[in-house]
Amino acid sequence: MIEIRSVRAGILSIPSCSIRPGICAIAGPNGAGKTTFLKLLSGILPPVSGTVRIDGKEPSVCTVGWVGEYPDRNILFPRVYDELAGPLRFTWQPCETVDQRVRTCADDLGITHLLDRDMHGLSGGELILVAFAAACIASPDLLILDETDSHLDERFCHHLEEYIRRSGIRYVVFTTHRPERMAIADEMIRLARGEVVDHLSLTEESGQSFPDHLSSPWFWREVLSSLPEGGAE
Amino acid sequence: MNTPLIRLSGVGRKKGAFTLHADAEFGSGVHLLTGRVGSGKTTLGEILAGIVEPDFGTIQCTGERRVMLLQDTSYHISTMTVEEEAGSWHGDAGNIIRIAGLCGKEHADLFTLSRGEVRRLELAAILSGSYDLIVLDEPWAGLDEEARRWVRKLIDTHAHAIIVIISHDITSLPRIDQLWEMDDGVLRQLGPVPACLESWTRAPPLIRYLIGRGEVPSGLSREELEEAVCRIHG
Repeated sequence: MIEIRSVRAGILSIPSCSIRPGICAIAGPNGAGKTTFLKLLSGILPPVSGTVRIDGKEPSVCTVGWVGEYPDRNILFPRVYDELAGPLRFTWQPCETVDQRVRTCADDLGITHLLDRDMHGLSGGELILVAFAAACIASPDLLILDETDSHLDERFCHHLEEYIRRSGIRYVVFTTHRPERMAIADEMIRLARGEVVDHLSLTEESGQSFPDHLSSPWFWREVLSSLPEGGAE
Repeated sequence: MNTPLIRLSGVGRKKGAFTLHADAEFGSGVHLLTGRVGSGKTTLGEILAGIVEPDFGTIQCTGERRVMLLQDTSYHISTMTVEEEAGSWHGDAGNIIRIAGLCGKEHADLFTLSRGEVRRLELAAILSGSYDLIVLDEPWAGLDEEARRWVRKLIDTHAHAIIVIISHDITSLPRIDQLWEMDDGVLRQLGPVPACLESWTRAPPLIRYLIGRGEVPSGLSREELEEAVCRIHG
């Protein structure tokens, strides 16, 4: 469990909130504190008071992968291969292990052909895939996706979601404004003005109400499951 | 007032192995440009907006050409505070701030705003201005439900302008008149909405779901899509 207790941090004020292993969506209006919440979980922003624990550990000692809306702002290396290898090299993994894991990860995401490319000059979609690979390659305890889907098409989102499911990453927490993307989540937390105003399980339908069909993760699951390949062409 | 029109004849642009081709006429109304990630949509938007020159072909425009582009990978901040930024656009700064929902934050440092708030400010400035052509590249990115609603409403108030919306996100659209698709660098006109919807081979899941159940939506706006879903679900 991720356990948040009596936390104050930035705009956030959260008496108690527990997130189960799986995929958790964070929703809420602009300025509600969604990105602050992600920073809190990942240990980037230590709380002013209160505690955050991921399976009993401080976030700062956990491995966290982060993909933002504009991944080109967080590039460390000029070559795709090195960007993927970075998180492994930083933990002093042997060269053979690094090489093998870079190639496996690239293969899983379908970006082997990009490994020798310059980071500069990748298309927007390719950048997201590379950033995603770099965030996942060290098998993080927690993977954070901060509106990564803003510029992605349906097939692309489906590809990433399949990968997330297969990756076995224990906690995946993402923010989005696109209701269809909530369909993948096991639970959903809604924030407003720095507070948790709603915390729903999406693993079983229990009469949660949404303003309309297009806002309901249940409706989107029906749409996606009714089409071949989960909606991807 | 002339009705604005933009005509692209044999327009192309090369970028490495990628080549963009466009032969098209954009008249006043709301155009939705769809297509895969990397298919050239943003490049076409930049060409329409005049930010990027095509390598070949010609562009003819009628109407005063006041062109705005909201690029999806960056913000366009040129000042320090909300008030200064709103004042840097054509139009009434107070009105822009009000539309953006940022009253009370006039003196806030732009870097203390959330990403969604900065986007709302930029969209309010663009959509409250009087432009002949407005290109919006992924305008909903980072916007919450309420902001999406007012962006829809503001777009509906532009009766004469050519508005080109580039988006993958089809659940927040205003009324759309024409549908276009970029396919690996080639621009294709799919036609007027809703007549073209049934032959939209790469339609997003929701459209395929509705058509598969015999409920062709009467348009692509949020309201029209929800209405079509209601005909199935009640």
